[in-house]
Amino acid sequence: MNSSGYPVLSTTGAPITIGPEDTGLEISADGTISTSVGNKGRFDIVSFEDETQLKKASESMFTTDAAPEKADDAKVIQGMIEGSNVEPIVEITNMITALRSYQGAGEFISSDDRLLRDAIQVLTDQQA
Amino acid sequence: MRSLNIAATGMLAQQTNVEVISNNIANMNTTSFKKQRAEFQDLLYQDHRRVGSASSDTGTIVPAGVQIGVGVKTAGVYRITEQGNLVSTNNTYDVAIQGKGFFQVTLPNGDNAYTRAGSFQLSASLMAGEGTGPEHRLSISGRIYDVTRVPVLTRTVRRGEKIGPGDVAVRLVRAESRASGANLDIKDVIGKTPRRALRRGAMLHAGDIQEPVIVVRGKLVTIVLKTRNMVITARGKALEDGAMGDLIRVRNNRSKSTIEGVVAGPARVTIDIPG
Repeated sequence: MNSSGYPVLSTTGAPITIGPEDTGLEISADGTISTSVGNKGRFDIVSFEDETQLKKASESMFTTDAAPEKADDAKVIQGMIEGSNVEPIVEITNMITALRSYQGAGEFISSDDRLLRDAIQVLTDQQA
Repeated sequence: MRSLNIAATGMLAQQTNVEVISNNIANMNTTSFKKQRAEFQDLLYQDHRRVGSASSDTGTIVPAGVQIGVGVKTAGVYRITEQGNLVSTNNTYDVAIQGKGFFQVTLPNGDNAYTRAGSFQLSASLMAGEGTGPEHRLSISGRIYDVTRVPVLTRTVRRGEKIGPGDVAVRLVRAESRASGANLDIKDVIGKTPRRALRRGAMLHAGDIQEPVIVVRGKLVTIVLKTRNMVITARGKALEDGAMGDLIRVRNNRSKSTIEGVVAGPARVTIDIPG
């Protein structure tokens, strides 16, 4: 099961089960799981034509109504996990840029406000 | 006055941008997280002077019109699905996908969900009534630990007291929680005495117990001197406490000399002279 406790499916569509006698779990590059007892099935790796159709659910999962297809070029690596693709430095830089834009807009609003106030001031003075 | 509103749309858009970026940063260490980007579009333009409208009755036209935008809006927040770095965990049940693809999991409502977070675990289920009656499958959850059997005192034993067969029980404890030391068997414990007072329920370690003292300091002992062809016994006084097999100092009452001997039994010390 995954870290939320949901069962992981094999290519047969059934959850992958490991018996109490199984030891020495090995996962090959195509996702086949084998133990001392024998073949335990294969991870059902799927991909989607249009990944933008995937809806983000919580707990690192996606849901979609689109039909999945077999993913043949995906490689499975045991003993590793995929980290996030966030690059902290890029994100921080973006954050600073966004912050400056925000400040700039705020600055603009106040100077524009000042401009208007001055204009009104000048105009009313002239009339008087 | 419109300029204020236009600038405000810019601030709103940047706020969305900051929210998206901070979510990215917050999930920096989330397994298989895919970063997101906010994308913006300009808002509709107001025509003040249309391009191509006649500027005079002689047929001249306006080459460039006047169009003023009214701000910006968030067009969308899209996901960047590039591969994340693979991190080695050395855990048998961790799997990463290289390339396009998702693992499939079943949600409690029966739907399938897709994930690239391959930190899997084993779960256990109990099957009751298999083949004999109505079958019942129960999911159980928990963690698996190695356990070892550890002797535990059932009453408080003071120093010098002997641990009897009724004073110890065997308890299962997590293997990793046991302090290092010899794996004590219950047989090894009975008949020993604690080095210090041990409370009820205390786990016994090899360093906590010793052989009971059978030769008491200051008491009379029989000194047995053994050579290959004769045995001499003499009376003496123990200068130290000693358990079975300990080397202690004793004083010969007659010669007043201090010699070292091995405790061989209650009030009995032997000295072996080889050859």
